[in-house]
Amino acid sequence: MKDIKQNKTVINSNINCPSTHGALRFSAETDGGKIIKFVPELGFTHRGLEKTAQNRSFSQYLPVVEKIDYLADFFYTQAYLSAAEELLEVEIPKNAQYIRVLTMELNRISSHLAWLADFAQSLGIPAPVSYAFNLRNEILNIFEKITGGRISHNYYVFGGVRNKISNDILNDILDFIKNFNQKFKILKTVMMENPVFLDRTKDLGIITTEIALPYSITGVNLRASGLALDFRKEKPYLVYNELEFIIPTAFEGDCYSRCKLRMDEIEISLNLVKQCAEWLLANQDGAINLNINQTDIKPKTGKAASWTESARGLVMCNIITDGSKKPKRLKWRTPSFYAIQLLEKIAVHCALADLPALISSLDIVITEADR
Amino acid sequence: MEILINFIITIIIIISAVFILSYLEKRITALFTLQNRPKENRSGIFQNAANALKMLIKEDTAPVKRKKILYFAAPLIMFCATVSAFFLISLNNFYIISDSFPSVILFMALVSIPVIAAFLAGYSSGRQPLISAIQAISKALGYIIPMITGVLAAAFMAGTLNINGIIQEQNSSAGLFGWYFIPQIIGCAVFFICTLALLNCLTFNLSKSENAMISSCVDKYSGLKYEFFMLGKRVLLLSISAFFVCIYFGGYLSPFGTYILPDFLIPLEQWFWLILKTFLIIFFIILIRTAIPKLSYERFLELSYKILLPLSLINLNIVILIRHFAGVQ
Repeated sequence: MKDIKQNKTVINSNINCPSTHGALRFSAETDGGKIIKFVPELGFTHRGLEKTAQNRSFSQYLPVVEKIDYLADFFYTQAYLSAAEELLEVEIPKNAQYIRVLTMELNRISSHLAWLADFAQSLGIPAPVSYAFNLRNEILNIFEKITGGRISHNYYVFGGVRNKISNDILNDILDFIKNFNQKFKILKTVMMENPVFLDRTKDLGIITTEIALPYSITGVNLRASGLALDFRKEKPYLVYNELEFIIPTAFEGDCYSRCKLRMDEIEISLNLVKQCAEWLLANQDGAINLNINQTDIKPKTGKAASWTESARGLVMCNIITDGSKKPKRLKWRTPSFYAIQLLEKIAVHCALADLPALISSLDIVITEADR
Repeated sequence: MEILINFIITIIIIISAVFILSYLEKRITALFTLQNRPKENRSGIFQNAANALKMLIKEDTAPVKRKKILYFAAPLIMFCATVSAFFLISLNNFYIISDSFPSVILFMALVSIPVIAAFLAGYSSGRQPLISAIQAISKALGYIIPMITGVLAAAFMAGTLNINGIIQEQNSSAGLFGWYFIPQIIGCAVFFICTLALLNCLTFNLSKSENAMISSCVDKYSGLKYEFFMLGKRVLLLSISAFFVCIYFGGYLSPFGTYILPDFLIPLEQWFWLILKTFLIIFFIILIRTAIPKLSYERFLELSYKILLPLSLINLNIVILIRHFAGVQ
């Protein structure tokens, strides 16, 4: 009560509070509804995934990787496998590369749609939530057809992918792309053209390039501030240099431009999926994996690093091996970890009621930051 | 004895209406937001009964550092105030539960009490609910004044402060066109917006925002006490919609000017019209709740003081002019 007389209140968020995206705990010092100090705290879902790698063989660790990010797991598997394949000195077949790009881009769309639903929820707009989840459900159905799983797939293997995508499924995907735009337009109109939405998200949580770069922010959060840094173009991996796509950017750096950018990215990813599916329809005969014995992965001594541009930003995986079946050391770089650090800077002077929208706009997944 | 029977009948009406309401609320929201239901051939009618039963047998937890008397009193205040507000609505011309003369004033006083109950709940249970409670109180400053000005205009037009009297004044052979929503369209709109704010509907649910990390005022309640709050909320929705219908849409009057059914069934028909109109209003409230995003707190105060209050004053002046030129004393 003493604090209230001085007009300052410290609010501790509980880790089971809704809209904390997993288990983000923070304490916010507020003065008349405005935040004057914000301290995020991590580590409540820490599962020691880096240490786990040292006690598991390469193939045993593979399903664990998917648990880093429950919304976009293909990117992490790809980063891990790409580093391991570099150490194994193999190059995966072209068909497998296209399939990986196709699934990753579909995953980017599904992740962004889940984010959209969450963002709408945190702003208090109930209508787009199930619109977005219905769209995401269609993508998960496609995943189920391809891989057998909806959230955890375990589809990529050392040297390729587990099984082929049949022509029927590829045609399904093309049908889905055809029908997607119309449904997505409704969602876009409901969100982006709503004056109340505009009023609440414009000029909220501005991230400039000067703030973002010292905190090593990547992904949409950085691109919204005007820097077109996308590792699909910057350092192409897989077959990204054979595909045509542009990197959308915005200059305002506020919540609205981040939202708009993610909407644009969904459309660009859709185009990428279309290109991959058409390529795969034309070249069905190629091999999809190298038939490596999955239980006997023994890379040479050395170290390797790999990267993917995930739905949230740059994902890096560094592996050091000593010639045994297990990695000697494995290190992840996950984008949400850096975005959370940024909160203590941009949440200051923001109203307490706008805080969930601000946190949500950074697209944070706590399991990914905690690992 | 008669009072007791009236009381029991009204309680039965309230409870059944609340059950229907909570079912409709879920289904209409699901309809508008395109929610996919599980493919089962059950309609989900008993869901609410099961929920209520679960609430009754649930363990009652409470924060340790609560202010005991206020914590206990808040749900009771909420429930009693809203239920007694419902008693003031005249369901038809023959069966009026409580016909105190200035019932409009009493009604407005009673529906303002839930804010105080919410504040007490927030104040007594902890720091986070307190923030929500403060927002509830400051929001009340925004909507109460335009709302009462709107009602005042209607009462002024009718020349009475009695709800039944206002309904009777709207009775004419023109039916639908004699109701007050035509001359007082501005006041009607202002009152409706204020109703949304009073009901904590999503556009204005500043004090109840699970998504804003500020837990709502009643967040620390559980079991029966929480059930009282929820019950109170639904009864409030019901009674304020019925009041809205009484003031602007002729209450139990038929829209055709004359009643369709024979004389001895008129009470039932009046009842039917009131319920139909009330549920239409509730339907619109739920529709708006699903479609419009939440306003920020500053915007709401701006809306209420810069737009709603002037509009309601304009409405009052229009009514005064009508009264003057119509030559009514």
